[in-house]
Amino acid sequence: MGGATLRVIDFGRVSPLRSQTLWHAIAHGVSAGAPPTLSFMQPESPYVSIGFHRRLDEVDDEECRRRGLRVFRRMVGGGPVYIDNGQLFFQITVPASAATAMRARALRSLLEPAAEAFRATGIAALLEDQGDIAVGDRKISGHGAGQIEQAVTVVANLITRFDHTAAARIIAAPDVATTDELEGLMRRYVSATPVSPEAFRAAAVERYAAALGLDAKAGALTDVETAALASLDAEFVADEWLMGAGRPAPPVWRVKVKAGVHMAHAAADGLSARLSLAHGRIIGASFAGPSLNGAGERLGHAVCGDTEEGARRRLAAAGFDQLAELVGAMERGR
Amino acid sequence: MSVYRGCHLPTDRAYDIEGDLWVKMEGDLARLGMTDVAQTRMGKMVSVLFKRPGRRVKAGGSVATVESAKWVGPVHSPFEGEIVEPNQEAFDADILIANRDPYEAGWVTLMRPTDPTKPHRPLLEGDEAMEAYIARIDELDVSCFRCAD
Repeated sequence: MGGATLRVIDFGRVSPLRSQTLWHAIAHGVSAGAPPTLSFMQPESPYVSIGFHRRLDEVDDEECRRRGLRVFRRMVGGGPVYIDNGQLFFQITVPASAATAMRARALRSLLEPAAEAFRATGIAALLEDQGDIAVGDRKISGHGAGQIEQAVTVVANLITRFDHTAAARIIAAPDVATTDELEGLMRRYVSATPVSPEAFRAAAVERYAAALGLDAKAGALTDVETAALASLDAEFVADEWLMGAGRPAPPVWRVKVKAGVHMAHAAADGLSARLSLAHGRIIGASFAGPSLNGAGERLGHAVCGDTEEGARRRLAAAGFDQLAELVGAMERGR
Repeated sequence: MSVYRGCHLPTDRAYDIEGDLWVKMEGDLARLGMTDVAQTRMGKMVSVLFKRPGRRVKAGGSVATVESAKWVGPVHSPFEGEIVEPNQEAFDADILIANRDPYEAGWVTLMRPTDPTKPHRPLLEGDEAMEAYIARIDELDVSCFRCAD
């Protein structure tokens, strides 16, 4: 690794803006030669963060206004997420040249110490194959990753308290029923862990230092990082940055709750279809539209347990071709 | 075409080995793309954001940003220059195009280098490129595969 030291910076409680820009600034610093760094911070008030490539209209702006939430775009992946002071954020930032070649493997190797830190605090956490840290089938930590300049950063969190309602409502959805179902899925598959942030922080420092073969040492921002921070503070509040690239809207609304669990919604010609899926199987389905002649509920029950492909075939075989096509669109849009 | 540990390395172009990037000069323009190693390391792409035509880029700057799973990373330009044509349509039609066909249909962008003799890092060709890339593949311990299918 780039040096013998794992720099540890605990920023404590910071503004929503700084809870994003600080770790981006660290990536600039590590690119410029600062040591690998483990950083921690807790936002002092709630806000919404959206992934680099995502459309701003995936966020429900009315709901955000009502709750007084600002939206910030981050330079790592993933969808819109609600963030508040019930979440301790941590970031591991290493030189890109020191990260494992394959991104999926690099992500795992940089998240495994976090899973170990959870276990050290008494939580039976495992790093799932698809990268979520989970207890049983419930995700207990969100994450994102990316290369910023010549540094690789993995961002994750300890969720001590999770506001499922806010987390579901800040996501723009086709209708209220979809939002309600999304909240239900989040309650089922996303869980807070009642761990002391101090205990977790101490365990994370120990585990990351051991995994990287470095000596943990408290540090502070370098001059490069302080300069980058000023620039990022301005960039992240600029409309152009927030708006993003204005990508075309996908034909199917889709939200991932955790790896392997997601919701999808599609509509056309007065028909609508909503599916909740877990590990490839439909666990909830709702079909609506005048041409179904009241059969929507029965069809929803009929496809429960099917794959999307199975549901499409079942609907087509029953003569509901348009509905089958909607489910087919969901399948293709995956 | 050389193939090493499943990684295809066409011999008709130059390589920025460290950047996992290929470069094909077409008159005063340079067509850029990710190598088989790059698409393997990245995994299935889920999104790409291109710098628009007319935008200036620095040597070593980003011509596009790609996302695979929750990982976002840049595609670096070997030259200072101007973006002429990003391969937007092909990626819009099939986001996995660079995973399927990184050297032809899945090219990333066409640019006009200010000075093609001054790349950010050396661009290697022929046997020199193959030897250097084979060494990198070993160093990275990568075996290539086309994960798109």
